Amino acid sequence: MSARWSLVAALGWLVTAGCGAVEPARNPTGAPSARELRVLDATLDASRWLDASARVAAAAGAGALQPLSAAMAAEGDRIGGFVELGAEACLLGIARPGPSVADVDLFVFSDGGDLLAADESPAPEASVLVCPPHPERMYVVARVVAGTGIVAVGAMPVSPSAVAAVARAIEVRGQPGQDTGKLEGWPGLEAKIRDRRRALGSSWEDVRRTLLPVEPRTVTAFSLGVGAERCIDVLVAPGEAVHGIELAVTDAKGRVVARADAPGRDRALVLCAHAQQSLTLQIRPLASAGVVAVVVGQAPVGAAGELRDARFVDPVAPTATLGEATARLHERTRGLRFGAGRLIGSANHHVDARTARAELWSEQGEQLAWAQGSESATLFRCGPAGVAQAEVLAEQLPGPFTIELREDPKPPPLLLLQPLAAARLLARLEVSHGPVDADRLGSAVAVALGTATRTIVPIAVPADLCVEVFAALDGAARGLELRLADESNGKVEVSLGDTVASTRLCASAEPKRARVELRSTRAEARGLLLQQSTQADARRALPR
Amino acid sequence: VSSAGVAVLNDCGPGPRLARARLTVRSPRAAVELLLVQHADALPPLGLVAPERASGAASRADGSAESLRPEPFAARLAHAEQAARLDGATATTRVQTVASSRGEGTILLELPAGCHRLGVLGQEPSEPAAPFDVDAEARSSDGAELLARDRSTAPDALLELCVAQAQKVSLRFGGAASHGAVTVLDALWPLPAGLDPLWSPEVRAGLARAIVRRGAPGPRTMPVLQVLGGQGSTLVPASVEPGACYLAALALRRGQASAARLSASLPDRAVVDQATAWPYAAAVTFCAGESERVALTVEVRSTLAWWQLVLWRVGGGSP
Repeated sequence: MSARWSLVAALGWLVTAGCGAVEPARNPTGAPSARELRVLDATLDASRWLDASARVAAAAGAGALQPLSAAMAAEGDRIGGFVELGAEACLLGIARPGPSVADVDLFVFSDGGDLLAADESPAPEASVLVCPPHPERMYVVARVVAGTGIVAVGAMPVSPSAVAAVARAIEVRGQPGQDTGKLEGWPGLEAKIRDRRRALGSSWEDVRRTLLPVEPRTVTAFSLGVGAERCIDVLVAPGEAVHGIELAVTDAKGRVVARADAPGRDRALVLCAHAQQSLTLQIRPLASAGVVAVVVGQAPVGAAGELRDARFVDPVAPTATLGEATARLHERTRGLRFGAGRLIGSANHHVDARTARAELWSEQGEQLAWAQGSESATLFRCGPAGVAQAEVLAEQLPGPFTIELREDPKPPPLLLLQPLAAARLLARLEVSHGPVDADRLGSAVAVALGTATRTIVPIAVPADLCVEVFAALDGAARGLELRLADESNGKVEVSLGDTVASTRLCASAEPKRARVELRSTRAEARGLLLQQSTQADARRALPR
Repeated sequence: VSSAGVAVLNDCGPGPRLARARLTVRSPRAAVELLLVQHADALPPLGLVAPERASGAASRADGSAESLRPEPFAARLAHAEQAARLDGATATTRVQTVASSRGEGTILLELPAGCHRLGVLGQEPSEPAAPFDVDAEARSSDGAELLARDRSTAPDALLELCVAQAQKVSLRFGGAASHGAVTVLDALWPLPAGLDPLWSPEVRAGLARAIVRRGAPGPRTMPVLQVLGGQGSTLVPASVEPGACYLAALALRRGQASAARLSASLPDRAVVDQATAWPYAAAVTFCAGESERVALTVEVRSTLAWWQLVLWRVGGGSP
């Protein structure tokens, strides 16, 4: 303690001692003194709000109610608490409000923040069930969506044999990936979203779900952002009263960068960006008025290569001369094992260096690689010396371009045995981690993949770190399923890709064990699997 | 002395008397804009012209504010009526009642379609030193919806609201003299002509309120753009004609909000209006200058609300 603070503390003690010896006087203004006001050490009795539902659940076979918390809450407030539960039992979480609260959502998280179950239905009461495997410790939290008043949260153990009866007695919502009730005005919408995302590939997390009005002669606007090297999936589903809609996407300057096509009543787009973009969805009904549901999901950084039908929406992004773009590329790739760039081609027409797609083809007509870039794009090819054809396609305006070749003369031998898989992995890493060289795949392992069996590889996630897992198919095979099963809570992340898939798992204070499960969805194939540890908040720092 | 950053100096009369003025800025730094206005009619209050600067009444810093000494009841009523006429009110109606022993009261008004300025004027208390501060609020007849409220420190209360169709409104007041006479002066302005009758009454009322509150010129033509949206921040890029001037207004269609904000950004400037009270409607005016595009941004803070944005061309440019 500094001398200054010592002095202040001493004075404070003296003053307190002096005051303590004097009987408190009544306020000279006549106001009631502190003696007439007592602060009570009391809490709200959560049981009062939970008992009715608890009795129904108990009659169906649930165990004793454990009240967790009760509080006066306003919109957006959260209340909850931790619970511990035996490995064999299920957890029933319930949130019950007072009459002035119109909508409450309920979530159960693992200690590490993984969502285990959610009830986001637009109703005042919320209930969820979490069954084994689940972590021993869980956090049950309710969020007030509409209204202000009392909310109580409680938990009850349920034996697996009684789960069905309890679920019938108390309307419960499911685990992640199942119907959370958030847009329950659209029966089947959740299943539609799951099917769509499974078909798209990669893995998805919800960003926004909302309902919006549509009217003839009027455009309905909805703004969203796409992060750098991210892709978002936009699904707009019209209500029954709406006979068809048009969906266009504009950038911040009002330029239309994408339009969704028929068939079907729904409109959907996968939008990717190299640099962060602000976009606005413009929804127009063809004739009738009504409501549409807008569901936006987001794929991991760098997942564009794993997706089908991805559209890049970078507008006439950061403009640079060819010299500037080349200089930046050289700066970014300095220090890589790949040697200095060797100019192998250039042109003064055909391509705008700002937004281009590049492809590499073998002499036999096999596509070896493709890439999309705003200022530059990188194609990878592994294998013995040979002839390949590079094709560069302008996405917008024509302009000059150059092609440079860099070579790594001594790549890890495994890459030469599975050259397409190696090139696909390098391309995938390049997008999410910035410039990489072949040595980055030094720890990759070869895997044989079947359609009916899963190839299992155990992994360990160190405390406070994440493990990223990348897999790529070699040869002409298509269709890859990558599952990552977290053994601490039984949660499984599924990522699908055409030729590449990726996922990641993070551990908090405790290390985790997990299982990678790989499968080729169409034909037996071989491929490469790469796992690497990374900081939980690691992001690619270099601009593309 | 300035209030809310605006200092006003008036000089009226047949000839020029105010030849020179000196401005002293007390802030360490400030940008000052001078506006010289020659006018025949009374200028509207600052709160109507620039609502974002209206900070409400301020008490004296030492906490020893004296009771306000209002004009006599009849004079205040006459002045309020005259001010409304000067502001363009097409009709004024007086409704009389008597406050309770506690100076409170509730009356049910049937308001015709239009924008209303409801002045609640009470007879001054017989005791000169007695506090005299009438507050009032207007709610829908079922009491569920707060339409307007005035809790400022002033002898009379002033409520401003627009209704798109005849509506019963419950007006509650307090702070009047015990058993004193209270008159509600309803001054009426017609709704702006450019409001599409196909829009819901709530939207038309909100848009009208935003336009009147902003002191913007009422649109006379059909809109050039209509946009719907939900809670959160929404960017709406729009095409505009160089040289033309526009009015953009925002109103809630459904749900409740805690705040609403509307801005229009042009390459060289931006204009903003925000609303923190019912009906959470906002309006901005701008001229396109040389620009062909404007970025309109709507921000509505709410858990579930739908809004409607309308853009009118109000003048300038080629016909």
